[in-house]
Amino acid sequence: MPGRAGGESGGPHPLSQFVLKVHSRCDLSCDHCYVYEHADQSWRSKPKVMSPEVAGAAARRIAEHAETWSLPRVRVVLHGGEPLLLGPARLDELITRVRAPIEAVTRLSLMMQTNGVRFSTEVGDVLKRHGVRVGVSLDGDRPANDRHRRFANGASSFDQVRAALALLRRPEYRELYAGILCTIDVRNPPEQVYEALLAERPPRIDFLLPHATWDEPPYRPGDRHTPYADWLSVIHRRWLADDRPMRIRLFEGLHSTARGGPSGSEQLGADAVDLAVIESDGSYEQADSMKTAYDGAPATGLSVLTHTVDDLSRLQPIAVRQNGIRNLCDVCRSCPVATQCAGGLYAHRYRTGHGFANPSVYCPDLRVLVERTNEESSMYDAGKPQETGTAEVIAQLASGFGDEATIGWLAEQQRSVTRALLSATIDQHGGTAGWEVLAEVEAEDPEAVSRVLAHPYVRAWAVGMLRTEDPSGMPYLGGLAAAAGVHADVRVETEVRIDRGVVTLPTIGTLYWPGEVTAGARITVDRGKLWLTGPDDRTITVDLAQPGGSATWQPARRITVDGWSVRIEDGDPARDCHGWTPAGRLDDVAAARWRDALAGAWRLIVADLPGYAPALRAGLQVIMPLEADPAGRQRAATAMDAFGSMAAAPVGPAELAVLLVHEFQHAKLGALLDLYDLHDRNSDVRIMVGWKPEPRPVEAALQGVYAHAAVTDVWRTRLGSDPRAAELYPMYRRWTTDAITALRSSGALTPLGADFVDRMAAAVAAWDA
Amino acid sequence: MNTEVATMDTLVGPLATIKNAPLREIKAEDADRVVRRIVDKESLLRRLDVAAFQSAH
Repeated sequence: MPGRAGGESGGPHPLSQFVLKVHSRCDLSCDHCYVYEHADQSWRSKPKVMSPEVAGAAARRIAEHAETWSLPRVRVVLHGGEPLLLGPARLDELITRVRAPIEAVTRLSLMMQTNGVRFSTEVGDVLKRHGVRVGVSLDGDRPANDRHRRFANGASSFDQVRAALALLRRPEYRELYAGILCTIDVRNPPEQVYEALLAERPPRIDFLLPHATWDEPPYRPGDRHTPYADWLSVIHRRWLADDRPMRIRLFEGLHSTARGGPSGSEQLGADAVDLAVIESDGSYEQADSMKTAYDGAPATGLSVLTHTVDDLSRLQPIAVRQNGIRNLCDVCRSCPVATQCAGGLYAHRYRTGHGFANPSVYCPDLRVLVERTNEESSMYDAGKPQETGTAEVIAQLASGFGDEATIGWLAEQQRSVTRALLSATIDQHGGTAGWEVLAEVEAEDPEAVSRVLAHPYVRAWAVGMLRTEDPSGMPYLGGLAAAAGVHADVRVETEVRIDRGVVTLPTIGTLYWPGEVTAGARITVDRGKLWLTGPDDRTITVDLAQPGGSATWQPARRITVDGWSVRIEDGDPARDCHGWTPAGRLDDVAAARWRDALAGAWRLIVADLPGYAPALRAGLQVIMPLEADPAGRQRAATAMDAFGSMAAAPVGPAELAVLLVHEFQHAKLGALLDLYDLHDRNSDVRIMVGWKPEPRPVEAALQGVYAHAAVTDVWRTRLGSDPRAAELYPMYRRWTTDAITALRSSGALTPLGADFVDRMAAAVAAWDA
Repeated sequence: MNTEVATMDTLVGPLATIKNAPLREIKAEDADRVVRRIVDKESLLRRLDVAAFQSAH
């Protein structure tokens, strides 16, 4: 069956990445494009558009291959030409055809690489519906991008591309934004290119060397020996100095290969290249970069209409890319950086008469880049400030407890998360008066602002704002500013929003406007008094020095028992994030019941479960009352976006003690999972657990086992004193140990996660000792 | 697919930078990293994959 690619090379092997050329023409006329401007001119004979029949055939071939090799996942890249020339309707139809057969047998990751010019909300909606992530090509600032990326009439594409990127940053499309692809031109100042790309806020950047061969060497200005290494090194140093604000695959690959890991790139490293291209007519081709070598270089002579992917994978040029450095030329094999460089991009090695058995035409640049990057990254690692020890944090929490210092550190991380999210809301929705005042108060008294931002529901509010285009909730920041002003004892006047009759000043109290209106208002805080002026110029005045509440003001209710202090939060609208309906404003009787229950629960914890007390003392700040269950069942919940809070329906002290311990386990682990990955978030593994009838995702199982281990501990301590313990302790213990066993064998834990679970298992095992 | 886990990042470094910056001076790119992790639930595992958008100019 050999095609032009040079014959078979033995048995088949799995390929899992497929580039679909869904449209073979482009609306730009970039003079550095390998598709149209380089040696291979096969695009001229290809259909403009991949037909639905070819797309369906390609998908069936991919599915068949995935099933044969039991591939856990395949990636399909929608590509061109320019894929958006299809238009939203045809794109929708094509993606639908591609997804169905593949998703019937394996997981499918869909990506698109586009010039962005035709990206629109209509396109974005189609891509979002199908979960297609989008990479956009941009070469830097306007002069850099205009150097090559122009329309056929010479007009710049810069503004259209930036508009596409702005659209991809909007909350509804942000999940689609994969990154930016930048082709290097050493005439563009690297710092300016870096800054222009950084300003587009990409999750990641790929820098590509312009395609070249020994027949068509790259542009080299003057007598400079390694201009591409020099250019990239400027960016590498700046990237490190900025503490790596986004991923840059080339550098991450070099850092990885320096430690013996994969490069994740065709450009460098010895990773097996397990990809194939499917052209618009259904023909299989090798990687696109081969187009730069010679006319017909990527061709295989095979097609999805007549051949399987296994047939393709047997071909010698495909197979040879699986062998790492073993197939490099002698010069490369003797090079000290061979394992990191691995000859560079395959196509860049081409020389007429010698084929690909040469070093890369970028060899001097690659050698210098590898060595310099290794040196610079080592210096960066050595100069980084010592972080709080991950191992110590893991050890503390995996024991089931956590001392005050560790939980205090977690709480501090949460405050920084909240600060970042607040800043992002301003970036997304625009500045507000409240934000400006908050920043001014911070300049005078940072601790006052820090106290307010520790309120658990500030983060919940910010997350909500970052998931909506509607800015109407932004005046919430005015309430934060006013609360900070009270703590700092500085005069504050700003805008707030009366939200269904409520204005919250976290940690200070809640204002209740007569009637559940939602409207703009102004708040003033000055020397222990506050004034809220709302609709009809009506003003509520509060003297903060006066104890107790009124119809329009409820000071924060703080309960302090033996050095433990929590607030009851029954006003903040942002508290509605626990999955149960919050109770409304408590009357004095209900508040007194909560005081009694919490005081009793705390004393039980200190007496019977003292190991859990330090974490609760350091981390739990707020109890949020829930409406009682009509059937009388217990209700309690932890919200992952509200560390430091726990929601519960009214309950007696003994039950509340168990709930406090159980729920705060979720909060601790949630805070840890914000910082570290203990499991593979892409894993499809489901785990059977004793406390639920259905199998659970890994994170849910991890959360469940951590919390149930604490409940097991509770019932262990009640053996002999509570008759229920004889039944409940062995039940919870079995649930916990079975789930630990399942997690350990899931294959979905990271090394850090495995360590955490091992330590948790050791803690549980010690109970029987 | 060549998506071996090469490295694992943490959010601790970016948060240290954010902690020390006044609110108005938090860099957008630092905030972005937190948004991607907390709001968009981005993985911190650095998976390196050969194709991604390497195949395009």
